[in-house]
Order: sequence, then C-alpha cells, then structure tokens
Amino acid sequence: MDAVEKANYERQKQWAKEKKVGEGTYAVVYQGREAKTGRKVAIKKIKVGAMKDGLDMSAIREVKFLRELQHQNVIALLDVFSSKTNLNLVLEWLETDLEMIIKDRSLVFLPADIKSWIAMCLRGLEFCHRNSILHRDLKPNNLLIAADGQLKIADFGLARDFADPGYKMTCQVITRWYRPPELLFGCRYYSTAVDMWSVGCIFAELMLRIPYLPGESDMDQLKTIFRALGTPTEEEWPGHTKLPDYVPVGQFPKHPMRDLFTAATADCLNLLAKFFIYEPRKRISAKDALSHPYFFALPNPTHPSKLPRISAQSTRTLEEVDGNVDLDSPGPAVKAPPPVPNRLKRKLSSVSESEDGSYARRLDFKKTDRTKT
Amino acid sequence: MGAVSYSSPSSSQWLFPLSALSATPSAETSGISLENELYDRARGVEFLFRLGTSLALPGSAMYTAATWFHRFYMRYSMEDYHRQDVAASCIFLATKTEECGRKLRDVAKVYHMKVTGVEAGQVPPDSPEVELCQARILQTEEALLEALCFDFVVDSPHTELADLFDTHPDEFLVQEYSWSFASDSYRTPLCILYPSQVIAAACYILAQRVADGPQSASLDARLSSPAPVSSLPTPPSHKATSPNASRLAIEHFAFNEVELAGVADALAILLEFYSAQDVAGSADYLQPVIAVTPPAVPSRKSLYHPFSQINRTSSSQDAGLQGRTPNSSHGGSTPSKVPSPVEDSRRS
Repeated sequence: MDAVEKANYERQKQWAKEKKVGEGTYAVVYQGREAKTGRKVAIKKIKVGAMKDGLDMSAIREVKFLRELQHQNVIALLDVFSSKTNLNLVLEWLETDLEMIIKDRSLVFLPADIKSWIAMCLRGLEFCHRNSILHRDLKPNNLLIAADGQLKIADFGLARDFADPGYKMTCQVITRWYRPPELLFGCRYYSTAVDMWSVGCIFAELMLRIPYLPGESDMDQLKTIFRALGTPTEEEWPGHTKLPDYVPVGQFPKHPMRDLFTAATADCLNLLAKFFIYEPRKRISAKDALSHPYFFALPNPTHPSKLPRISAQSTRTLEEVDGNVDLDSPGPAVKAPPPVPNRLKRKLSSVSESEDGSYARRLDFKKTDRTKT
Repeated sequence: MGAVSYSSPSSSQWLFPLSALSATPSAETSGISLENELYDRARGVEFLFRLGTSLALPGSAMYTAATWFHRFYMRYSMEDYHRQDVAASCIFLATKTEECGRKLRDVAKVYHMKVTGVEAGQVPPDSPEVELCQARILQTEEALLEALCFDFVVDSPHTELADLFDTHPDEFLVQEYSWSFASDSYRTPLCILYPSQVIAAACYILAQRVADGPQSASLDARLSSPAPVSSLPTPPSHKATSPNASRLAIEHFAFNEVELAGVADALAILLEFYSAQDVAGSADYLQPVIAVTPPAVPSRKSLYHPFSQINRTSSSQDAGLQGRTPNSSHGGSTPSKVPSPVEDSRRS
C-alpha cells in the first residue's frame, strides 16, 4: 500500500491547486497548474465518501468515457489521482463556453464563425458516435472554448455507450430545450439521432443568438417544437403516435425556415432542416453532416484562433498579467459574465459537504493507514 | 514464461507476467501462499458470480467485475480487504459502469443474504447488518477505484468468442462449452495474464477438444503449426476434420508466436485449475475436462493444490468471519453450464 500511496503522492505533486472556481453536487473544481510546465488545468475534486451511493454515476461516466476519448474537440482528461479521501480529475483548462459567447451581445458572429463552431462540434460528436458513445447532454454551455479557439465537447456526466438493440434507456436525458421530440414522447430505444437534434438547436441558436426552442415544461417543449417546425404527420414520422408518452398537442402549420433565419444561405437552411427531421432514423448523422455542401461552400469556416472571443479582462488573475498571457485579446471591456468552468452547471443544487464527517469515514472499522498522507 | 509484450496498449498495464503472481501484496506483505491466494481468488469470484446472478446482472457486468477483482489484488493484500467485500464492491461498481444500475441497498441485501444464508423475506427492512454491508461496500469502493486507476473499460474473452462464433455458427456444442470455459476462466487470474483473444482461443480450443471426445487430437496437435500442405491440391470432397477445424481460432485471431505460447500457457492454467476441483465430490461432472492432457509448456511452479486439501482456516481473515460462505462450490457451475458427461453422451 505504501507504494500505491507514494505513486499517488508523486502524481499529486505534478498538479498544483490554485483557487476554487466552482462547486457542484459531487465535486469541487479548482483552477490549477501543471508544476512542470505551468500549464493551466482544471482540477475536479470528487467527494467519494460523501455520496450515499458511492462514487456518483456522473463522475463514473465522465471518467469512463474521457479516459477512452482523445480528440481535438473533446475535453482532455489529463490525469486522475486520489488524495486522502478524494479523487481528482485533472482536465484541460478551458476559458469559456459557447453559451457565454452567444450571450455576449458585443460580439458579432459572421456566417463563417458559425460554420467553424458547428464543424468543430460535429467533428467531436462524430468521434464520440464512432466510438459508440452517446453524449446526451449537448447544449451551448457544455461546448467549451479553449484559449486557442478550439471547441471542446465536455460534461460526459450523462453519456453512455449505445445500448444493445432492445435494451431500454432512460428518456430523461438532455436539457429540455435541446431534447428531441422522440424523448419527449417517452421513447426508450434511441440512438445517435438524439444528439443530432441538439446540434440542430445549437446551430439555430448560433444564428438567432437566443435559444431556438425554449419550452417552459416538457409539455410546452413539444408545443414549442411543433409551433416552430409544424406538427409531424404520420407520414413524416411513422409510428410516433404509438410512443409511450404520446399526447396530441395540437396542429400547427409548417412555416418555411427562411422566415426566421433570414440571413441564412440555402445550404445552411438545408443542413439545418436535416437536424430537425422528425423521424429519428432519417435525421442526418454527424458523419453525413460533415460532408454536407454547407461546409464546402464559401465562406470557408473561420480559423479557430480568429473566432470571436470574450474579453479576458474579468478572468485575468494577477500572475497572468505578470506572465505570458496574450493581453491583446479583442474587444473593449464588456459586461461579460466571469467565465467559470461550468462543467457543473447542470447540477446547481450543491450539497453542503461537511468536511470528512461523512459516514463512510466514521465506520472506519478496518482502515489501513491511508488517512495520513 | 518471462515478461512478454502483447499488442494491446490500453490494457497493457494490467497484463502481468506469471511470475507476478508470486509477488502480489498478499504474498509480499501478508505471507499468504500462492496456492491459498489463488484458492481465495477463486472463492471470491465464485461469490461475485453468485451475487451477480442473484441481482440478475448481465454477463458483461459480472465479467467486468471479476476482472477488477483480480486487478485489485495485484495492488492490495487479501489480508487487508476481504474477498467478499471486494467482490460485492466490484459488483456494485460494475452496475454503475455497465448501465445496469442496482440500488446500493439491494446489493448490500443480497450480499448479506449470501453471507448468512438468510432468505430474502427474513431480512427486516431496517436491518443493521445490511447497513453494515452497505458501509463495507462503499468503503471498499474507495480503495477499488484507486487500485483500478479508473480504468473502467475492460475486454472480455466473451466478446472475442461472440465474433468467433459468427464465423462458424454451426458448432453449437463447442460454443456452449467455450462460453462456460470463458466464464470459468475468471476463477483463475487469466484475465490479468493474457489478452482476451488469447483466453478466448484457449477456451475455444479446449471446447473443441472436449466436444470431439477423448480420442481426438491432443491439445498440442491442435496448437502446433499445420503441416506445409498448402501447395498440395486438396481433394474437394475432403471435409476438414477436427485438427484442421481446430486451427479456426488461431487463424481467426492471426496469432504470432508469443500469443500462441500464451494460448498454451492459458490452457495449462485452466486445466490445472479444473484438476484442483473436488473432482471426486461435488465436481465430478468435470471429468471429461480433467481427462484432457494439458499442452506441453515450459515447466513452472504449480499454481493450484487440490481444493479439498486446502486448509480452510489457513487464511487469517477467515478466523473472524466464520461461515461467510456456506456451501460455496469452488468452481465450475455458475453462471452458465459446464460440459457434463450427461450432455456429452446425449449428443454423441
């Protein structure tokens, strides 16, 4: 055990925690640095003993999948180590997320910028799908933006690998505004198409700068979708009326998308419509989307480093000003919200963690000397 | 055999040379003998399978849990963590990673029932023993996660076998046997010694040998390189018989020499394990398997002593935990069927 402890200690020394930047139900997030290189990292400290069901499912999913996935557009898990009673995930540090960029009214998006973000998102997602992983919680604030402008898919707390055909999955996934109608109708057998609907919502949101389908309840979500896209017919989506939670929510006519997305090109609208095909089997896949003419037409996607970004002012810490951070980032001081690594946003109900007094500690009947480090 | 390198990078830190079994924490820090450790590993996995079966878990979850069980004891001693706590904790963690969630309380309840032999109906809803089991599972989980380095994704020979079966769908009996052998392989530490393809091939070849009957080609013949007949025309009417069909697994996986040697070693370990069962007593259905002559492998220290001779009180842990697993069978029968003489005669 000494060897294990020592190895852990060695690992721990490589990463220096600097300040707390966020807290969620099962973890506290710190900003830190790699001791050797000074590279900024996010350290997510997971409280193991504190949970009543052991290590939280979200944490397990996150570790399980991030250990496997290495891609430019998926957040990188750099290391995992344990310290005393906690497990620590070291993730790459990402300054901001797409939601904050969308909300920053001082930024102007060019069509080429939107193309660039969506392409990066699709590349990351295609990689996940190719590796049989469903994300199940795509939304702008889970798309983090690195300092070099690269978009990274994050928060794999709801992800899972494809189920065997015929194996039920929960339909209570994906944040409501980004949830496809089949899940709202209680479909328990689904696949990659659910993520594609979310991408469509994000795509639309990039163009509109407000959420495209902001339903107020699950019921209202369906209404919102149908109001925007028209009520599906049996022909468009065979069998949807037989889904477990199907309820008729009224007949809404179809409006041409052009009416709302006035500035979009024909290619752009064509692709957008394919993300919103009701029949999940016909909805476009990430792979096909990437070879859609939209991505080959002019304008070319903006290079990630040239994408609009939030002024770094509010996040700049002292050592950064002293250090080698580029101070020529664009934009005057705007009231950009402070970029918190928001990997925990979904779970705001933070549990008060009363130090180590958790009951797993108290029942310390057969403990080796791991409490000392 | 010494340290060999296999081509599976993701799991390479979890493949140990055979010699590592003599240098586990149980051996080094607790002085537990190799035979006793392997015996307790087998018992732990048996317990793990029984828990998993009672909880109606899919096979994949149980195989993952069993692999973790073996990995865990490469980093912790059996003296410090009781095999049943570790087994239950592996099962509980596997329900979380394999998307077949079970409530901690349910896992703890089944754990309690298996240990004490109490029926489900007799466990009161607020049983303090179940509470204690819950706490044990959670506490062990911490050590388990650390020991596993968060490597949750595990290969299993069953996946490999399923692919192999697809190429040769008719061999029903061989498929049944090899599936059971693969499950039983978790009772041995094979999963931390060889890649899953090697284990799958060993199970398949052994299954063919048993299915073909005692007069069929030996394991050595099945493992050896085929005679160089490729240039000779083969009469089209000549249907390949067992020795050639037995190349199926080896050719399917396109093994190199190192891997082929691994298959022989794995077969030898598996057969040694079966021979150590209480053959005269509860495990006499294993006779046709035990009768198989192991392949010739470089001589090594024997791993298993006959289980019926292992002194039950020898492992220090059990002193305070008398009767934790009543009537445990030590190998062979769960979760799926093992070839039995009855089945053999019916089919031949």
